[in-house]
Parts: sequence; C-alpha cells; structure tokens
Amino acid sequence: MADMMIFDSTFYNLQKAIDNASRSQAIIAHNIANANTPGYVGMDFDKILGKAVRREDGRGIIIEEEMASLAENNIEYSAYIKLVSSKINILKTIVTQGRR
Amino acid sequence: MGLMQAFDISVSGLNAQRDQMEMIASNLANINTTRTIYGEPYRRKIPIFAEQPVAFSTALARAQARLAGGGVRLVGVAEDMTPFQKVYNPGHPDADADGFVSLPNVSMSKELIDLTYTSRLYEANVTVFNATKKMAQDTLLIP
Repeated sequence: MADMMIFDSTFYNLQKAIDNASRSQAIIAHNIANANTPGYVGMDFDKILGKAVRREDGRGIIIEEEMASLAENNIEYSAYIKLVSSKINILKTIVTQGRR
Repeated sequence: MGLMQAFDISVSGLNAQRDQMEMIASNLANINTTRTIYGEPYRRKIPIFAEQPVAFSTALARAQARLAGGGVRLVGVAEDMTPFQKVYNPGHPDADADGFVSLPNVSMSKELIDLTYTSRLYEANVTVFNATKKMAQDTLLIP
C-alpha cells in the first residue's frame, strides 16, 4: 500500500476552495467599504483571477450586487466547511471501526 | 489571511460612515450659522474618501491578483463652494448694506438624504462583519 493517502486530493481542493472563499470575503468587504469612494470601480474576484477589468460604464459599486455576492460566498464557504467535516468524519469512522 | 483582513476592512468601512455622519451632524447643526471664525457664514463640509493604500508586500500580492485592498479612509474634508443663500432680513446684525443676510449653503433635504444613505451603508458594513464572523466561527467547528 505504498500509494495510500489518508488526505487525498479532495482535501487539497477543499483547502484551496476555502482559501479562495476567504479572499473573496475580503474583496467583497473592501468593495462595500468603498461603496462611497469616488472613482472606485470595484474588484470582482472572478474577473481578477482572469485579468484586471474595469467596469465599462464606471458605475462604481452597486451595493445590491455586492450584498448578493456576500450571501453567495457565505453559502459556498459553509458548504466547503461541511464537506471537510464529513470527509474527516469518514476518516474517523475508518480509523476507529477498522479493528472490528 | 483573508478572513482576518475582511474584519479590518469592514471596520474601516464603519469608521468611514461614522465620519460621514459627523459631517452631516455638523452641517445640520450649523444650518443657521452666520458667523464662523473665518468671518463668513458656515460652508457645507464634504468628506472625501479614498481607497486605503496597502503596504508594498500586500500591493505586490495584490498585483498578482490575490488580495483585496485595505478598506477605505477619510483623506480630507472639503468645503462646498456653492454660493450662500441670501435672505432679506435688515434687522439681522450680520445683514449687509442692502439688508441681505447670507445663510449657509446647507440644504436640509440634501443632508437628510445623505443621512439615510450613510446609515444604510453603515448597516451594509455591519452585515459583512457579521457574515465574516459566522464564517470564522464555522471554521472552528470542523471536527
């Protein structure tokens, strides 16, 4: 069993996903904090991952969109946390029940 | 560290809205002030906000598209240079030779609209703060 891994790539991917959601949270917080800042056009994490894009019409921050992103990001985050938790629970079961 | 940074950013947003509230309070309190230390009527104060600059290391990481900025900060207070309102009131001690008194260029309706907007923005920042707090608490519940 040389290639057996306790923590497989799913763990690694979930870790990355949680990390991304944390950063998204900071960016959404930054956008909402700057909702009243003249000339600030916002940071969209998905867009930033590709390239730095400015809004064409320069509308600045749309607070409704940011609040929606916030809710979405929180749900994503809890989903990842639940997945990690259940993965760990599966491992626990394997580790503790294996001797029977 | 994304989540801890998000807390600081939300706090900067709360501070900014509080600064704006102070300006609105000052403008409304001085809506009838005809004498200031500069010898003219009170001029409406306008807060100027800017995106918080980040440290070099953070800026570098940000350029690599991985980090948010440092929130928002108050960079200065400007004065509204629109003309004063002139009201005919020859009995007033600050009336000019023609009997007109200059009143501050503060508009009550404008200030009250700003006030509503500012309190909504304050609430938005509180919502983000609470959401971040819940995320951090959830993380601690991983078995």
